[in-house]
Amino acid sequence: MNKASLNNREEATRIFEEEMLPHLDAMYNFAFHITFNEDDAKDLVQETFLKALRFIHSFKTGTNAKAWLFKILKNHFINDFRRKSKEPALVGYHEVETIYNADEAPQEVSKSFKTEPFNENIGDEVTKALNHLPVEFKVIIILCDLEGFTYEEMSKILDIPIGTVRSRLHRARAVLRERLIKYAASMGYNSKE
Amino acid sequence: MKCTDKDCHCPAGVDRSRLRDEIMPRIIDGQASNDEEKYFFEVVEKCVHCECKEKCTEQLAIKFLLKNNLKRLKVPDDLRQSIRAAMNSDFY
Repeated sequence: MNKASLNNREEATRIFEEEMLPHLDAMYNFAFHITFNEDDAKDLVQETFLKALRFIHSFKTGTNAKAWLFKILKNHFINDFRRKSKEPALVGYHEVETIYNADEAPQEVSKSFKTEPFNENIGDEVTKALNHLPVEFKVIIILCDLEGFTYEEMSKILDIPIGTVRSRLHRARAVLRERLIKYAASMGYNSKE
Repeated sequence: MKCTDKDCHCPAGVDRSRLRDEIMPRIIDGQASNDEEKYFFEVVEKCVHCECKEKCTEQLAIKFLLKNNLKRLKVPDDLRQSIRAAMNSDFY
């Protein structure tokens, strides 16, 4: 190995160590939520990081490493992983559209939406609500609400226009809201209080 | 659509679709500019017909629930180790 390639390698290792590895937990969580399975999530993250390592020299330092990694993961999931994997039963898009278009929920919305009464037990219920979303909706919710990406970053990661990012978010939230409001009611929460 | 109720004190010429479809989501997601925030809260405080305040509160609550209650997993040690091993190999 000559000096130039050694320096390149040291630099690549430094970039990987400092800019990529800190996002490992976030990547794993994202992968887990879209695959429903720890082993699949591990495979997806491993493949993503191997691709990132392979193409590390095309990464521009100072740009958004987290968005770069998420884009690789998303592409790998869509192009390779999802094709091979069996998909769990999900709510169909038309069902989501029906729920959204019916616009039932807003009538029951309260100005005093309280989260305290059911916060202690809601972790599982929130996970269930998220897992019932079609994968496209789930992905956008995770990227936005959990990982804090901007609309512009999500647009680049997902290769969709910003308008589509916003409308997808809006629809995903309408479905989530419907599910979580019902749960809140089942826990004794009165939305009219 | 401009509010025409005589008892309503919202700023004149409110563009409701812009308020609801563009500014409110940016408020919820923390991506609104200072001017947009000021405009939004001015309208929702003054307009007796505006549903944005209610919807905004509700959507923020959902966002809060997700952010704070979804289980966060730590990456398994064996995965971390295998990625580190790849970094230290001649893989790249």
